[in-house]
Amino acid sequence: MISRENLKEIEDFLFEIPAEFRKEMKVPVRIYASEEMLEQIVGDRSLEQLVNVATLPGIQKYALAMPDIHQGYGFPIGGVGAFREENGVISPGGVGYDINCGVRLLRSEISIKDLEPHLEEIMEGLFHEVPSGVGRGGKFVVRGSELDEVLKKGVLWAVKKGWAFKEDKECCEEAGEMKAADPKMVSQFAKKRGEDQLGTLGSGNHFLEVQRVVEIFNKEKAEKLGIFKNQITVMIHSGSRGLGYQVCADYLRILQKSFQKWSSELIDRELIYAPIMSEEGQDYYGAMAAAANYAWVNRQLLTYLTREVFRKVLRGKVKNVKFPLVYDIAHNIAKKRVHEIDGKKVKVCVHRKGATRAFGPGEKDIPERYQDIGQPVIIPGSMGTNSYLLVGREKAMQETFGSVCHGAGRALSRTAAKKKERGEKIRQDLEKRGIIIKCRSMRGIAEEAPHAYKDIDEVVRVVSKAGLAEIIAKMEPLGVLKGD
Amino acid sequence: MKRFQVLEHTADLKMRVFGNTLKELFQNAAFALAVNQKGNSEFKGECLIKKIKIKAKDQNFLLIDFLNQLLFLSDTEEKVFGEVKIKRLDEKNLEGEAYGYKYRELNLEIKAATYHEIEIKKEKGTFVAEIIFDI
Repeated sequence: MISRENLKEIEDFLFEIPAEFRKEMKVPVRIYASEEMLEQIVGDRSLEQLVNVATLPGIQKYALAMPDIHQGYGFPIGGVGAFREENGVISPGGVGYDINCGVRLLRSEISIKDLEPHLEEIMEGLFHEVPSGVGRGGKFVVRGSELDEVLKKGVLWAVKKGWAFKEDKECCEEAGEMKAADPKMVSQFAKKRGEDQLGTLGSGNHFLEVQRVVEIFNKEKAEKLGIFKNQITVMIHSGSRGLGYQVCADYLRILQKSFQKWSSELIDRELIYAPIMSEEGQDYYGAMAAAANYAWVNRQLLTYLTREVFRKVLRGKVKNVKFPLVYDIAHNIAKKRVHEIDGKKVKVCVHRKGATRAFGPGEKDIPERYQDIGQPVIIPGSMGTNSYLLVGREKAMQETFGSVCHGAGRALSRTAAKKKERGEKIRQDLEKRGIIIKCRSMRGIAEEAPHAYKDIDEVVRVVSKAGLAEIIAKMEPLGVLKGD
Repeated sequence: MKRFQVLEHTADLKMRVFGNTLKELFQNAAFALAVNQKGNSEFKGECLIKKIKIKAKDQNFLLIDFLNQLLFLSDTEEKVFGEVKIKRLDEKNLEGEAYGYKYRELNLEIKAATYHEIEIKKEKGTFVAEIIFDI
């Protein structure tokens, strides 16, 4: 058990468990959090898990925890670990089952006063047109070589089909097309699961939210992002669906069989890994990148369906109904990239599990239009709470391999959340605040209730105070479509 | 005898499954999975029979791989496989038939059964296993 005494304060909002804490640790553990948050953080196994991560071969600098950290398996959720390519490891548990679970933000020229009279109809429309995919398939069935195209080309496939604009591809992390994707490394099982799930939301904490921008923190940068006060925005949170889950399960299984080749000891079964340069490691990376592309296409098709609903409902009533993409980020992914470590350029594989890329101004990976201000970072709140738009800062590049938190992080278990408050009451409370919830089951609402999560405002405040990202805007939900 | 019990877990679904024999443990694990997917234990109507054949390193992995196979079938056949007849079960092999039933809507989307701390134990003559499902 790790307690507060084991944590050393490095600076405001940054704590460390030194490498001496356990002899197998190769690097320290660093945690971005406020003092108050630490009490909750030491209450579960997330720090133990991070200590385990710090023992893995080839890990560089620190095993990192973001303020929304909570216990996962293997890697905690809200964790970041970068491993040197030549002698380090890649671990499916460091990415998660939902490969490229991520979120995107769409902006519009519409303001709240123009949308308000039509909000109920919009939410009804979204409820009917956007499939949850839980036991019901999607509208886009894609098989065989076409599915391989999706896996290889990602959002480029959607552009060719007319379901995405060129700008949608530009404003997506990796341009929605990870070049390392190898459809041959995705099993037939995974492909079968993915065939009819494109353009489906999925359940759990996935959602599609219509929002209003309620506060601007930096007017100049907000303008560059196309954001203004009282603007209507849409946030879509979803991942790679059954295809991604199967890829993760497949490779966890493959690695179980191969593990003896490179080690006899495993500190935690879910932390199973392969050397990045091994055949298995490369195969997993290729499959993971393909699943990531699938998720980007998924979010793109959800965008297409959303745009169609707005266009249909608002036709003749509101002008200029376009919803351009601000940005799309992944928060469960592994990325190979060169980072500067102790003055040298090192090629590493950065695992972000429940963590978001946050590159600062001037980084070549971000779209030209955002070069001056830094990469947009979208942090969704849990159901009924605020969401945030930030931009990455140089300090993140130096300290966290360009990473920040991904959201609020769970505080209560699903059973505890359900015991605390019934779904119907929560729906009523939210509706009293003017938030429309569309969801097929009350159980889903109770499990995802705001009180089940950590405080998003606090989480975002910490990453901002720690200098990792700058808050640009805050959004409030008007209507939420949940997967189940 | 109780077939399964849902336990506390912050983000995922944690279950404890029981069985008088190992076969029963596996069968109850399949039942527990399907009940949570469907939201009830009413498996009726026409059923789809799928053959199951799994090989794994040991029985702990066999149990998890078995459940993941059921999840794969569930997703692709759009049924819940709440009943399983196991014909062969030894240290590394499982063979049998899974019976899939229709549902109108799923109660819960379960991504996968994880290997997390999986260990089939014997407590007072009963086989017990704790399984964490990613949801």
